[in-house]
Amino acid sequence: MTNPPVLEAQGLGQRFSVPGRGDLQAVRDVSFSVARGETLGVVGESGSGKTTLGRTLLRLYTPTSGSIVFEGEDITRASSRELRRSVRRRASMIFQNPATSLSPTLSVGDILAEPLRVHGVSSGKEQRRRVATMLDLVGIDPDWSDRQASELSGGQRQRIGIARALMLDPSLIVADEPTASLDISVQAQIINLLNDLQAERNLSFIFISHDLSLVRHISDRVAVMYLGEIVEIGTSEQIFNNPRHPYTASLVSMTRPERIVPEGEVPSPLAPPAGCHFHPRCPVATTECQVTHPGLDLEADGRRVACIRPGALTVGPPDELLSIPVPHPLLAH
Amino acid sequence: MHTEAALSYRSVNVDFPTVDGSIRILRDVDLDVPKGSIVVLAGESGSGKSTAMLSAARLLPWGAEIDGEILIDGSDVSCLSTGKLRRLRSRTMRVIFQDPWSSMHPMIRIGKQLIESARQAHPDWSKRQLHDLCVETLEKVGIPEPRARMKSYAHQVSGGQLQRIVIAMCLVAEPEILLCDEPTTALDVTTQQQILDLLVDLNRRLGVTIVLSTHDISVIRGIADYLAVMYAGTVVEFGPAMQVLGEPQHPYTWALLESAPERAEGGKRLTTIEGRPPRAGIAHSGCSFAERCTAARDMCREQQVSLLPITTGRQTACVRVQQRLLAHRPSEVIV
Repeated sequence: MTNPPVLEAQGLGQRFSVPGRGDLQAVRDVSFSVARGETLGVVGESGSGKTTLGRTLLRLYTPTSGSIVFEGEDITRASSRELRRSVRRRASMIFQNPATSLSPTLSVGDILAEPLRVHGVSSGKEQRRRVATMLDLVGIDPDWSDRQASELSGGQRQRIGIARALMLDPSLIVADEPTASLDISVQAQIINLLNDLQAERNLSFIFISHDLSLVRHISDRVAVMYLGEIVEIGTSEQIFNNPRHPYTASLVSMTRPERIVPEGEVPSPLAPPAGCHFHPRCPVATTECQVTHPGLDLEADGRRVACIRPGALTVGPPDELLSIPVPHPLLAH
Repeated sequence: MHTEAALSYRSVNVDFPTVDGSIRILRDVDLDVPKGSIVVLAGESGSGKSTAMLSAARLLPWGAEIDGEILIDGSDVSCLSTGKLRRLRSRTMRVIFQDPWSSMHPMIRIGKQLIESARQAHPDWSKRQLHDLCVETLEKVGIPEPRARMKSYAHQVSGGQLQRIVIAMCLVAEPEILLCDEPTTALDVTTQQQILDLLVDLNRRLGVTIVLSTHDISVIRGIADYLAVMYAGTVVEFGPAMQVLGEPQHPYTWALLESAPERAEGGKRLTTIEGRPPRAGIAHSGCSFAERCTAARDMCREQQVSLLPITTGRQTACVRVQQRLLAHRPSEVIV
């Protein structure tokens, strides 16, 4: 590759011990890389480990196995002082709920100036100028920097969350369900804003979400997670037009008229099933799936799939009623 | 097909009290829920979809005032006596909420809660009969080992299972109407689909009328017979779901459908609705969507708007659409 990746995870694992109930392997043997200016979507249901993965990548947790290389530097075991120089400065996070991720006691201006102050980037007048520029960039009136976050609407607060993530001009942003708490019309505004900022600043995104249509829209590549593991990773087209893992296929089918609903629910990550973790719910599982745990194998088209029968489950055509735009009732005439 | 109404709203206004006086949450809601159908109330937060639903069960905050008529079996819910209201809530109409964990008591066994619910509807049944009914109903909603589950506590089962149990707790009363307030929002996509499939199955098999509120368009696609789109406290469009989705008539419905990521193939920009919905309780003349509408004219801000029939079975509250169709087909529009 000519361009070194912004972030590279190799065999990453994150285990927590749950008092009285043993160990919980939240993330298991996850490997991928994110190129500059690229968006990697991470999809999965609750308990799939996608949030833990996002937090581990930014070293909010210390991984229990594997390695993370950020901008060419191994940060797997970096001390907090070293982290402050690299990933704390050059990567940031956008959280799901802007109501709880913004301080209720600070003004909008103080929230945005805090990263600058912590990293000693600038002071006084220069800080205020940067805050005003950033507010303007995310579509908030710079005169609002004296307001409290609680005075803003959900969409405006998430714009502040995005502005805060951008204050130090990062190369990578991990966005964990950034629009899950927003209404659909506001979600569209935020997603367009993220797309614009990415194009302008050549940002890399790791976009974590359970909303497949949204991930498809925003991502270049997509990783599908199930019980802490990546079961399929490939380009957005590969994953959504021609899913090869049965779990991916059933997730994709949820956005189509012919739905393949897996039986039962995601098992507890405290006691994942033997063999392929998905086999108890898989409509095409064989007896071999109960014993063999498949590795994430490379396919001819460049994607990776962890299934011994890739492509055994296929999805129907997309929903025309929802995907084909209809003319405006008034403007078309 | 669906002719008789199981539930009707006639010019319903709902006001909530606040320290600065009352604010109007629902304005002039007119809606018929045909017997045996699934009607989805779709709208963004603050559109009044939950209030519309909960006002039918009179489950509104203390001091809320209902003006207009909400009719079930010919009687007006808004002025029922306490006894009749109790009977309505225990037998005729049951409610399912978004979060199954807060719908169940955490420290009472599931079976005991089910039996209590069943006893409200069948006060003269024996304990044995009630118990059998509950086990049977758990089986009906797809709970494995229903007898064992009767002895469990809410925290011992998963979210999807618990929402099924909540549904069973409603079904033991053999209700005519099921009100579901965002019943799948708290659940995962695959579990969500299982619950929706269950609701459709109950509707088809038992004929129970379902009113369901949601903000998620993919939910509407799967299950709705009829779709009512709500905006700023009122219904702005109503009709058979497939027709409304395929050929929206109100500019807000159109914009809402258009802003879904499914509509932006190949990395195009998403269509947005500029601005925000009006704050509840702020009085405005004309159409409440006019400020954000790309097709608004002066008349939209000045003229009184109301939900009117435009074609057979379809209604819209857009004055411009009404006017256009009136010019083409006057005989159909006049009621």
